[in-house]
Amino acid sequence: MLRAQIFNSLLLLAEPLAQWGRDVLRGFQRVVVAIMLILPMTLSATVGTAHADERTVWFTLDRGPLAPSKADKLEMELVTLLGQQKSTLMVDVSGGALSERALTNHAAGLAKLIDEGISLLLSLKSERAIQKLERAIKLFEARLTPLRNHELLHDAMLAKAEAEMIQKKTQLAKTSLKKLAALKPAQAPTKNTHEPKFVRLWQEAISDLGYQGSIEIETNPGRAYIQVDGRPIGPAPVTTEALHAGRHHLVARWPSTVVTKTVQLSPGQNLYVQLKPSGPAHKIKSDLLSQNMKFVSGPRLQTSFRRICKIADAKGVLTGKIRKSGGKEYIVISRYRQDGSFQAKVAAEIGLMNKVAAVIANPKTKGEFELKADGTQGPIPKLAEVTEEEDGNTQTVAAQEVTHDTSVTSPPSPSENELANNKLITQAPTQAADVSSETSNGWLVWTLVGLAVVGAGAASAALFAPAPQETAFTISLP
Amino acid sequence: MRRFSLTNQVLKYLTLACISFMLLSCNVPKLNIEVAASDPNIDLTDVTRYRVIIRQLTDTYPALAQDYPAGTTFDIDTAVIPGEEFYVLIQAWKGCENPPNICPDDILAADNECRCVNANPKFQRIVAEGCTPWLSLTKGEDTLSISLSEPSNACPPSL
Repeated sequence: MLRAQIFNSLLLLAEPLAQWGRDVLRGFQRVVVAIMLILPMTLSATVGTAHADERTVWFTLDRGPLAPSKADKLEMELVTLLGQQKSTLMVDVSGGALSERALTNHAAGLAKLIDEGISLLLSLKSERAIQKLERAIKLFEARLTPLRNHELLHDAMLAKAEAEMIQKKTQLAKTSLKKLAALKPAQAPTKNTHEPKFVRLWQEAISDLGYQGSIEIETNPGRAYIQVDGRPIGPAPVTTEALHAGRHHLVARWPSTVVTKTVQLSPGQNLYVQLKPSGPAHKIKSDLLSQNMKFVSGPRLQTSFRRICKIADAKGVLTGKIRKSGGKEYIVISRYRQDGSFQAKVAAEIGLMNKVAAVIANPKTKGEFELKADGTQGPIPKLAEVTEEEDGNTQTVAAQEVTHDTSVTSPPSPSENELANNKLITQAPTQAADVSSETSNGWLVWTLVGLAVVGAGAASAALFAPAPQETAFTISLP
Repeated sequence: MRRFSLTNQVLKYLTLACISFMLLSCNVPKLNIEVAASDPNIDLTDVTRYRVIIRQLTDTYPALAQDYPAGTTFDIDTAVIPGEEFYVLIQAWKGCENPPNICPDDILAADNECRCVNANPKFQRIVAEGCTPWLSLTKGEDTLSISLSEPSNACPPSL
């Protein structure tokens, strides 16, 4: 009898112990996964901090004589190269990460937050776990949607649903699962990983989402590369495959800009979205670019770059251009300090782009020089310039000087004409003395006046006539 | 008599001035381009579209980037300012025989690689292209021919 009682008591104890064991095992699995996610990010962040990574704005690549597609490709390669330098985290003018590495610090922080949330969940402190996980989700949606892997977000959402389930808030858990299901995560809850009740709730959440819809995405300017919920789907304009109703994270990537947007898709809806860079930093950028890049120095450029650094929370600005000289293509990259002042300019043949990236990415680089293939440095050669910055300024100054000179010298010109006309008029009676006919005398005067009118008319036409704005083409295709 | 003569003279010269003005303001340059395949191995029979790109040296975006069907002749008035340097690039596009499952990154794709385009069929690749040297027209009419050959990174031309 006593034995039976002890046996029953042990059985009663064994069930929660077994449950506890299962929980610990699941928790252990999660911790291992979290460590695997955090470790590379933390290592990379540690390596980065050893070299004091600096957020640096990539402004633009003035492509000079290069075709748009080639210039875009080159700019992508260049930004990738710059982003790989240990001292530089490349961001766009508004602070958006241009390389995966620039997101590492945030991702590491987020992974830590999720880990803490899961630890609280395992300690049955579900309320605090939910708070942590909600923060993690918000952090991801605010800063990390450009990541090409959204597994961290999915983990946070799933853990939050589990915490709500533990609190017996089934409806809330179902809502969280609906949000997760909309993103079509790679790993869904199954009977092997979760309680049957939780799996049933997951299936209900999917069926509650209703008809699938789609999103048509256009970008302006040009054709940016589109990513939806962390998955690349191609260059815009593009329409997504069928998507569940719910929140979706859109990312448009240009070589020098990243734009993110979160949209809410209703069941069966075909949503149209246009993504374009906006905000004060992009306004400053487009204002500068509209001046055909003739902006190398001067207080306006300095003020603009200073503002951009402030908005992007960056330590400097890099901007580049392509030029050709003697059949060779050159890349020239300039670096500006946080206060907008000029710091360095490095030029080299395009084949040496990786060396240029390594040199200019170093925040200590100063001066202007050309990098040569043998590793030596020399003065920057005279490149075939179209919109060379210095030339642009020189031209502007020269134009001002000419204008100034003209304004000084132009008033005497009419008086000289008047003088000439007066001479003619005053000479006319003298000539008239030689010519007996009064009519012929008048004819001569008015012919000269008429010629002056024609001359003035033609000159006015040449000066003031609206220049033809377009060239006409006729193209015959085979 | 003198007054009449004066008015007559003034009118005459004003007319001359107006004609000069009109002649000057109507002088829009024109360029005729004839496109042909230079390489007999290039088969242009199934070309789905020709993409015509005209770009001014100093502009960020092309003055023209439009698709036109094969075998057509068309007139374009672009935003190419007379006197500005520009080039014309013609690309012949065909549908891909083995399209990939996902759109490749347009920016990273090689010139003759299959790409997603906003046209039918969705996956196409460039089979031939040709471009002019850097040109600059100020007035008058000119004719030149563009020979299409295999994509070889020849465009844009060197300065």
